[in-house]
Amino acid sequence: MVYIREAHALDSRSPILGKGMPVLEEPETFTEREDAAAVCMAKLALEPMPALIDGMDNAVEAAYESHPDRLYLIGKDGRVSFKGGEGPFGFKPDELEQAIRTELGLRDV
Amino acid sequence: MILGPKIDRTSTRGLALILPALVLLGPAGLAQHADTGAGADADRPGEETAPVRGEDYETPWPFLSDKYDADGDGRIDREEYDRSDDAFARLDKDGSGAITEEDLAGGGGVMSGSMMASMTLRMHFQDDDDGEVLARAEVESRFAALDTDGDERLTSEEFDRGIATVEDDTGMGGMMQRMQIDRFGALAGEADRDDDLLLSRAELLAYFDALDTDDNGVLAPQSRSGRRGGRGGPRPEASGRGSARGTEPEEPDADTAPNAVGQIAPDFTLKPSHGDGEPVTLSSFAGKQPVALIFGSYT
Repeated sequence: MVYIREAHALDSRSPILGKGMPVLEEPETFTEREDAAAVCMAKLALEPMPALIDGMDNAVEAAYESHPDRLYLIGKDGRVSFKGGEGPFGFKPDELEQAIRTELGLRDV
Repeated sequence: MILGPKIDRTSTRGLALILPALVLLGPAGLAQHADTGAGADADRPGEETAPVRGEDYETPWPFLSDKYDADGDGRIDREEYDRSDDAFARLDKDGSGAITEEDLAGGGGVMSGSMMASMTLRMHFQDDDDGEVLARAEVESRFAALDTDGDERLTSEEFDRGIATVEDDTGMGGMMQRMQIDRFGALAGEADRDDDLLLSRAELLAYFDALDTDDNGVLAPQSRSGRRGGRGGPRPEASGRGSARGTEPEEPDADTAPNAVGQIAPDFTLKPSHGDGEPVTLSSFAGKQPVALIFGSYT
C-alpha cells in the first residue's frame, strides 16, 4: 500500500458524507497522514500488507499519477510490468491479481 | 455521493485475493500495527482529554463539533478552527461564516441523478475494450443485448440481469451494488420521455445524443476532478477521437511516460506506517522480487 492524499477527505472538494463513511480531514502533516494510514490498514483489515506513507510533497503519487487510487505491478527487473487504470473506474483488483499470477508464472485461475 | 472504490469496502475482496500472492512476492517484513489510540472520547474540547479522532465517529458533525466548537454554541467560527482558510470555506458550505450542522447535513458530495445517469451509461453500455470511450454504436449493440425479450424497451430487471453477467464486483460496479444505488433508475430518470419507467432504444439514444455535445457519435470518458493534474486521459475534443482511432485512444505519450509499462519504475524511498522498520526503497527490490503497489487512502 502506498498511502497518498485522501480521495474524499471531509474538508476536500468532494467529501462523502454519510453514516458509516470514514470521518477524516485531509492530513496536513506527515504524522497525521501516518495516523490516517494506520487507521485505514486496521479498520479495513489490510494488515499484514505493508503501508508506505507518501511525503507531504505527494511526489510519489505524482510520479505514478495515482490519485485517487491506482494499481501497479513492478517486475522483478525493476520495470513497470502492469499499470492499472486510473481510479476509481479503472481500479480493478482482479487485473492486478492476474498480473501477479503472470509475473510469477502461475497458472491462470 | 461522489463514489469511488477506495481501498477497502469496495475492493477488500479483491485485495483478499491479492494478499496470498503478495505473500509469495515477499513483503518487506515491515512491522504493521495500528495504534488507533483510546476509544471514543466525545467530551468537549477544552478539557485536556485524548485528541478527537475521526475514526471514533460515524458522522462528520459530531466529530467537528467535538474537535472545534470550544464554546459549545453549535457553530464552529473561524477563530475556533485551526486549519486552512480553504478547508474552512469548503466546510462552511452555506457560506454563513461558521461551520454548522446544516453544512454537514449530507448535501455535500452527493452525486446528482444526472451524474449517476451519465456514469451508468458510460459504465454499462461499453461494448469493447477501448477503455471508457463510448461510441453510439456500442450503446445500440448493448441495448440489443440487454433487451432480452426484444420488445425494444429495457426494464430494470433486464438491465440488472444483463449487467450482473459482466459485473466486476470487486470494482466500481460491485460497490454500487452493495450500496444499492439504483443505476437503472437514475438513467431512466434522465432519459425516459414517455413516463413509462422503461427505457426505449430511442430514448436511450436520444439521451446519448444529448450528452454528445460535439456530435461526433462518441462520448469521451467523464473528466475527473481537477485534482489529477497532468495527463488525465483523453480530453473531450471536437474531432477525430472516436473509437476508429484504433487500439490506443489514450495519451499519445503513454509509451514514454516514466510510469508506463516497460519503463524502469520511478524510484522512491518512503517510510512505513508507524513501523519500527527502515524506510523502503523501491529499487532495492530489483533483481530480487516483484512489488505490487496499491495507491490509495482511507476515504
